[in-house]
Amino acid sequence: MKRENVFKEKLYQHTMPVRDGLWDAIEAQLPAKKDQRIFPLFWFTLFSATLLGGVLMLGVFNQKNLNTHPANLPQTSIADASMADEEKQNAQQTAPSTNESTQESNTTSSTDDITNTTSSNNTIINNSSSQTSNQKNNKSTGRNQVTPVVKRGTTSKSTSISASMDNSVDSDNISSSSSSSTLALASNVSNRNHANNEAIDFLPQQDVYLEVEESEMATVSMLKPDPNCYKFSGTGNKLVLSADVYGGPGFSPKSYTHTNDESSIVYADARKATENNQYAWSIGARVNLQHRSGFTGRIGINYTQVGDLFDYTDSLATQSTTVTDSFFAADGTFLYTETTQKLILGTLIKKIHNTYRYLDIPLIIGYEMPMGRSTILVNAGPVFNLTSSHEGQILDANLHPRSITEGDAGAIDVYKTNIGMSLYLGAGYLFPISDQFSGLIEPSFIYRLDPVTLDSYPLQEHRHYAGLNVGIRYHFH
Amino acid sequence: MQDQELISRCGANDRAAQRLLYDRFAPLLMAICRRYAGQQYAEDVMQDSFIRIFQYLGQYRNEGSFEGWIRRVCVNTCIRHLEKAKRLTVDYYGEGLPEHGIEPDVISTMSANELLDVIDKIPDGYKTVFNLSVIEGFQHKEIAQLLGIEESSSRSQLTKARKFIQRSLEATQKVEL
Repeated sequence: MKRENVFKEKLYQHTMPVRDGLWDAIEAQLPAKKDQRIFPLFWFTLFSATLLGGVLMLGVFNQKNLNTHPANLPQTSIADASMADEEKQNAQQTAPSTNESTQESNTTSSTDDITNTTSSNNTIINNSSSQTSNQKNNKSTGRNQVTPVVKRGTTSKSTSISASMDNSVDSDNISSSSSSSTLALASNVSNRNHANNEAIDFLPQQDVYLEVEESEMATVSMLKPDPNCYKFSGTGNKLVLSADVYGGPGFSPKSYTHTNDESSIVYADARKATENNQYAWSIGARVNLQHRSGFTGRIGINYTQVGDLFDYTDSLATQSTTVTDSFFAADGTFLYTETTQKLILGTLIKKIHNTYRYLDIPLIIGYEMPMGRSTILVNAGPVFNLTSSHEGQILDANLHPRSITEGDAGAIDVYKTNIGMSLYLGAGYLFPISDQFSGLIEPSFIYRLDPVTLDSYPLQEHRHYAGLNVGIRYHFH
Repeated sequence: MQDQELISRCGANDRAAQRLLYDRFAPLLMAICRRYAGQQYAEDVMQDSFIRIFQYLGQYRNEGSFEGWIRRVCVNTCIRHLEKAKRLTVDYYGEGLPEHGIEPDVISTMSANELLDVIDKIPDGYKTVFNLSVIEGFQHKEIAQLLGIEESSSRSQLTKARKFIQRSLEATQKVEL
């Protein structure tokens, strides 16, 4: 025995030199750094920023084109109209105030847009009905169609002109085959025709109108979004109602708050090491009440599901098995029973898919900024949790795997069933699909103010959610 | 750096901390692996041991010393290696070994490396029991559980390992004479 003590004395703490390069071989087999956990959040942020940036750039580009494109000359028309108003006012001062005299004065001021407006519409009627108008009248037809659109509702004086215009249009073939948006389009086209009116000389008036409309349609819709194209704004209403249905993938970053004592640090590290985020998604629906100013109130319901993988391995696990052997004599007489307990050393591996579910009511204030035919929206507000549930297993404070599923035998009480208020932040993009529907893309972030764990639990777990919502908006009008 | 901080940082996959832990314990683990697995496989087994240590570090429960935990993981890895290589087969090399002992002073004068050479010569089955019992201090019951053998087998193998060492030392003495 003394000899064996010598073995222990000399060999228990015995060390041996290790050759260089062995660490490199070990390092090559170690898992990658866990900093990669932040990558989903990073990529999500990058994607959102890129999407938003792209939309803003598109908006700026559209605005720039609105200001510079020659087809878009409403200011000029208004200026012309103002000048015409002045002249018309002068004319009215010197003439009797009757419709007939107004028409007469308009007709006499042949170089003026306003006067030509009236005469041109008259010309169209005449042209379409009798085909007897001269070239000059035909030339003035197109350019003057812009005026009623611009002048409508600007001054009381122009109203009478507009009225006459509307009346004339109503009775005209063009009007009967065109929507209000077509009329606006024709306005722009007409301005172009004013500069290039040689091209349409001698052509039947109605043919000119349609031909130009088709050729300009694509250009105008690309560069100058037509606010009348889709009627989402509800021009006559202060408040517009719409509903969104959305859903999409996300990422649920998780963090722990603990005290500085060793056991808490060890527990937090063990939890981090054994729980990995696997997936997250959410779906929801909400009703929007939008004010004409762009501010919008939203209320809805949102369901979020997060999946974690609980990956636990105990390399020093033991399994105890009790074996009872009964011995009998040859004649069947019972002799004795021998009970042995067998302890098997092994590795316990648990891979359990944990599921966390949250049902929330978002109360959101948003602002929607039209950007051509599309809309950029920004949303923020509180989110109230209705209920939350959880299934699976985690390590308890003693680092033993335990169930967190409510109702399971031996389940531990870790998580709250209501996590209170959270904050919602989102920014998105709305694009028209039809008169009733728009497409919605909205990256969002839900910041949980309170930990999802019970206050009494030794480790406070915070869990937030970042997601990309894709959906459809229905416009009630 | 304190053990606790080192463990925490290693658990977070901090490479610098892992290297520090490796530098601190590699010589010790190399000697353990050398004793169990022999010179030929010592490096491979030590490599596996460190990977397991880093992998399961989060499960260290602060029960007992950290070095003790690391030793235990390393010893387990060695046993797994021997099982995998089917080197735990018990062979009765000890039949007919002399019952009488040699002077303890002979061992006392031997260096650690000389003792390792002596242990190296023991057949794997006996050697593992000898290492676990004499050097690690395991009880026969624990050894039986670890190796999946009967306690009586553990005792007999230890006896045979002792006899083997005696014969080996006798032979060495004769050569020296």
